[in-house]
Amino acid sequence: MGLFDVFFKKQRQIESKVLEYLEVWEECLRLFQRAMDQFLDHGADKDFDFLVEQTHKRESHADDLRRKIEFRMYEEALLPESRGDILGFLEALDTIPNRLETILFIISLEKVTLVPEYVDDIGRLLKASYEGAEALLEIARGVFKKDRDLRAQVLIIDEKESACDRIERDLIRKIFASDLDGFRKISLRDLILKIGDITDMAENIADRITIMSYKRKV
Amino acid sequence: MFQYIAPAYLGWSVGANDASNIFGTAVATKMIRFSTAAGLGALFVLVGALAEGRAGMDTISKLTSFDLEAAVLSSLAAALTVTVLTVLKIPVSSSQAVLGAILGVGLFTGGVSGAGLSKVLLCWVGTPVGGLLFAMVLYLLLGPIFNLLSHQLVAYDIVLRAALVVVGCYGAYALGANNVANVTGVFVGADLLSPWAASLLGGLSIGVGIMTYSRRVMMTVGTSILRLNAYSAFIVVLSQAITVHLYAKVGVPVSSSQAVIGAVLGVGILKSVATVRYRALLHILIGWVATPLIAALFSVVLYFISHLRYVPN
Repeated sequence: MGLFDVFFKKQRQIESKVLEYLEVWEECLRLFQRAMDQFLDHGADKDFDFLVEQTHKRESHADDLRRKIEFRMYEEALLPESRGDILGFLEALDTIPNRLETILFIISLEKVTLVPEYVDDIGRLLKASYEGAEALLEIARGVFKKDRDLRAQVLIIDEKESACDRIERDLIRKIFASDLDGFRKISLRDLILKIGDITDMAENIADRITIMSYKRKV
Repeated sequence: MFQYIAPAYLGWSVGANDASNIFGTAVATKMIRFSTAAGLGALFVLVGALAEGRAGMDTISKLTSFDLEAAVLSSLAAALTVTVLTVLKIPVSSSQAVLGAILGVGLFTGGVSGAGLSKVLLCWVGTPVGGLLFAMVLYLLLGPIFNLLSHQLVAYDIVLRAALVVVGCYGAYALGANNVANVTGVFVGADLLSPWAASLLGGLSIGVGIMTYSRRVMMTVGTSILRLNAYSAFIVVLSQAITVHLYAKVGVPVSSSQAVIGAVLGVGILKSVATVRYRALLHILIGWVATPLIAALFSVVLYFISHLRYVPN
């Protein structure tokens, strides 16, 4: 522990709590990934429900951690401008695990079933979403750790968001051109739109983090 | 012992008022705890007064050739001025109060040096200008260094907070070095105190003022006058400290408030934003004009009262 760390214990504690939060955030993403792989391969079975439950637990844990960090903020551990930035940053990041949980709950509660010909496309949509979310995670870690090429990650998110938009539009077009009944069409469309939102949200949060950094520039 | 009450009180009020220029923004926006700011402020004021307070003492003592009575009266008038203006919530410069009081007593005793006076007045004008120029130069020079950390939130936070504490200590040192002459300078001129004893008494009384009563003023200054982010606050305090320290070297007590206002305007010019609430600025300007006039008036009245004699018919 360096001399600065002794004098600035509170700041370092906040930093380690935020990094812990990001670990849990990543665990949520990995569990969601496993749950969706299970869903694409075997539908919403018991293993899927187990993974939904695990994702829900990690999401709740992430919420608890975020609240703890926010309480520490009120104990004046950081400069006022940094306090506002971290609060906004965490609130924005937290929308992604919430969205992942919502997607899993929709599949589980509404008993969504997939049509085999769309599985590959949905798989591609999910892959691009994971990659966008992973790039966002790198950007978020970059707020605390040096030597990370944030600009490259922003470009990845941008690219993945465009890819998701294309896949999303193609899929919806195919679904509404098919012979599926109206209810299934709407149900699948809603699911696809919710998955497609992940990279949109990641892009907005990445923009916010970039602005946060530019704001500090003299 | 009575003669020390007025300078000790004047020192106390300097500490209570002027520490806000050093740690006001940092304490009011909760970047630094008041206890930390006050402890460090009091310590470095004393160190500054003892290490470099002598040059200002020389100026003030050469400005006047007062006897003990005139020194006590001018000191009392300055202390009264600071109190009255503080109660009226008008920002007050102790340098101006002291000079106004010296001039008031000088009207009767005639012991004021014209050359010394013009040097002090010239430096008064130079103080806000110095603050402004230093702020502009330092803002541009140090900005790129802080930019290197701009995307690392906690590291940036830690470095800036440490920088605020360091410049705060330097600001306190400069305040002690510069303003201690305001508090006890006339007593050196009247041969009542040696320069070292005057520095010790002045430094201690300013320190006590910081420890006991500066919190309220810090909160007022930090929240009502300035709208600064942490980097700008750092630049303002550093510019103010350098300006006040330079005048300590020259040996002219100046107002740290004037240096701060100059520095805030300098940052505002560079950022093209309003960093100062103009109503508060007007309030300060009124204080600058009113302070020497009121101090002179008080010293005239006190001198007159102290020389009233009962003459039987």
